[in-house]
Amino acid sequence: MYKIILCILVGLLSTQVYSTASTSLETIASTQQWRVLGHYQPYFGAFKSSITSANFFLAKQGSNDPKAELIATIEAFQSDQLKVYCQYPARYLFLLQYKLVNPRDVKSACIEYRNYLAELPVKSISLVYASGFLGNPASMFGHLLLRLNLGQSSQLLDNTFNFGAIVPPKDNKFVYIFKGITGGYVSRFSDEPFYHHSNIYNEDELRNMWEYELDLDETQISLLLAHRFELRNVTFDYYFFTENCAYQLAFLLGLVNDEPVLQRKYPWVLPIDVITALADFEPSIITSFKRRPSRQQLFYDRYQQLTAITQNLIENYLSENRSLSQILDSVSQKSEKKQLIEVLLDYFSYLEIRQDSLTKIQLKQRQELLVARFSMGIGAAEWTTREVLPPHKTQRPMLIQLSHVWQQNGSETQLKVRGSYYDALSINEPENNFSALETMNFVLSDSESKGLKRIDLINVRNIKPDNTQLDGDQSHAWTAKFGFQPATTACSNCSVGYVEGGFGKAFGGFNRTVYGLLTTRLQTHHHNIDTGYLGAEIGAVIKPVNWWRSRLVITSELGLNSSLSSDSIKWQQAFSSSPHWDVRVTLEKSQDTSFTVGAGYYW
Amino acid sequence: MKLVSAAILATAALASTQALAQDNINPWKHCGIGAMIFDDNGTAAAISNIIWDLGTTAVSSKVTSEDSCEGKRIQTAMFIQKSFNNVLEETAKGEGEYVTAMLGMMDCREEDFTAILSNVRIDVADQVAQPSYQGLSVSAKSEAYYTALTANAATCGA
Repeated sequence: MYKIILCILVGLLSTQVYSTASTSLETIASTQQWRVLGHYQPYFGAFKSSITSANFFLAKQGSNDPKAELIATIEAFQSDQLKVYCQYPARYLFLLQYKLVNPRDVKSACIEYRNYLAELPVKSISLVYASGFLGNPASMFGHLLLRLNLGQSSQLLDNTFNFGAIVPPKDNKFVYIFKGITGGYVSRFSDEPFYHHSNIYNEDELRNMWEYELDLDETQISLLLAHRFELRNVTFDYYFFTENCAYQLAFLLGLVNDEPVLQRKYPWVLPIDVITALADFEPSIITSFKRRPSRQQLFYDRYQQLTAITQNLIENYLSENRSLSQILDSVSQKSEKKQLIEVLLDYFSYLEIRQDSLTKIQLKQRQELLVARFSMGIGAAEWTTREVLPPHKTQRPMLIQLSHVWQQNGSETQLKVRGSYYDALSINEPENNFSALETMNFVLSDSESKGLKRIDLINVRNIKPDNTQLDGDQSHAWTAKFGFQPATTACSNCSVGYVEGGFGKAFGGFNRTVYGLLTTRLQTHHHNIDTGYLGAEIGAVIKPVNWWRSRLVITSELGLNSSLSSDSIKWQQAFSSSPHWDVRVTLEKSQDTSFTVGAGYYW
Repeated sequence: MKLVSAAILATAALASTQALAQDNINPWKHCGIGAMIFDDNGTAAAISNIIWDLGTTAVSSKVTSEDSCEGKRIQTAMFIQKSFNNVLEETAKGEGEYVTAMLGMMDCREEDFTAILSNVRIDVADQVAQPSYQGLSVSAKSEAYYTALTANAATCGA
């Protein structure tokens, strides 16, 4: 039937079309580009578009039948109505490749499209990654967007191609999480100027951003822009873990890439998956990358470049022991005076976000700093850019690890599978170097009759030493974890549900930390074992070289019912500088002594 | 305090009579920028795309959609208010990506950037030096800054 329709169509089209219509509609409808243009996702052996705007599709079954939509599109273009060309410029460009549409000067004929393109003289496109931060559940995994580089006087004026849920302002975090996970929101692509995003991520949320410029030619950029135009009033499904910004942008890049960016279909997609997939499978598409540090990061990077004497002057000024003129007089070089003032301005802007506002004294100090800076000459202070590990060189989020455990009472073999993302010994970005964010952590063991030893559904450890000792720059360490695990470290076939948390403080620098936590744990009943615990944890993590990382953890816990205490000491080490594998060696002493060797593969 | 604050704004406003006459509009008074809610909880803003400057057309419901409030100068006014700390600090330094972006938004010629910013710097330095400055709201500071900018960027966008 479709072949008959195709014959009719090609007969009606121009001779030029006829000469190249050898590709079947079946083939064209199954191309990656057509599936991206309709946002068709595999769905129980068929297809379903993630677009929820019914009027986006021309065929009655267009939202789940790519071929029917293709035929309807060809028919619509055949009618030669300008409206169709103006509504679907990307479909036009796509069909033009197969000579299934009459060439027209769409840019000139369609006023709205012409104005749209006139506003977007795109020179190149960058994939921008806003790194995750543990302070908010919705932001732990980061964010992705495309920046359309316009070559203007400042990159802040560039435009973006961004995807996100439409969240009513009244929805709080818990409502957001529930509705986000269960598909309770619709979503859309949007087109804010880049400064909107840099304000949100760098300034308001104090998150670093990474920019990856993509190697796209003029034709590819035109196709992306045309499709962006098609999507301007279109809504989508939204699922926090599956149909999120990362998934949609990776899918979108399939429009200009021979292969799907995400080669494998995970149960979930993280922004880092897209970055690492490009780095691993399409490295040539990334032409350059650079960090856009948050205001907090700028402050830290610059503060560390000051001499100890200047740092001390800043502490004295902030504690009102010395006036601004006194500390400026203590610095001989004009360039150092500029540095000192600019670090303090960064500090106050960071602090204003951190504390929501500044005190009267801090406001006064900031004003006098500004006055002093105005009185100096034009020209910013000079700073050295700090080299840090970029996201695409961090250890990959998914893990499968095979371990063998030798114990006094025998041995066991374990298989660990982790959904995401990193732990304290991972090769990670500096801001999360000692923290952990693990989800769907399954441990299977041959010592368990049912095979499953433990499940950590969520494991978050926010272990961050203070970067400075300045007022307002201190933070606490905390942990939260829940799932199923053995009721005690020594028993088998004794799984209980548990939830635990900790609160404390971390100290140290960028490659080493020591910390202490007060902990508590509740677990479900199992025989006579306690269900409530209070305890303490002290630990240290060092990452002195790129191929060796080490962690020592000492815990002590008291059962609230029995008053029985249990202690443990654990020394774990990771070897390897690769983002894809490592070897872990663990020595642990609790009720039993164990020695574990494991090899993990990350992807 | 309020009198002094008003004096700062009045002085700045007088200095820009020519620019205001040209545009005949104050973004804070006529376009409701001052009434806009800027969501400091970046989380909601980051997740959602309900924003105050969605593309070039949509604006917050608290901002009028009159044609006169959709021009580049109004966009610049919104940019100044939203990015005020960066704009002010870079003005004090005399350079930076935010002030460059701001002058670009105003359609100033790049060869004029240095001269315009130098003059803006002088005016804004006077504003900042006022004892009452620290007590002003970000909206009031932004408005005063914008007034100094338009006074010195009359030729931009011409």
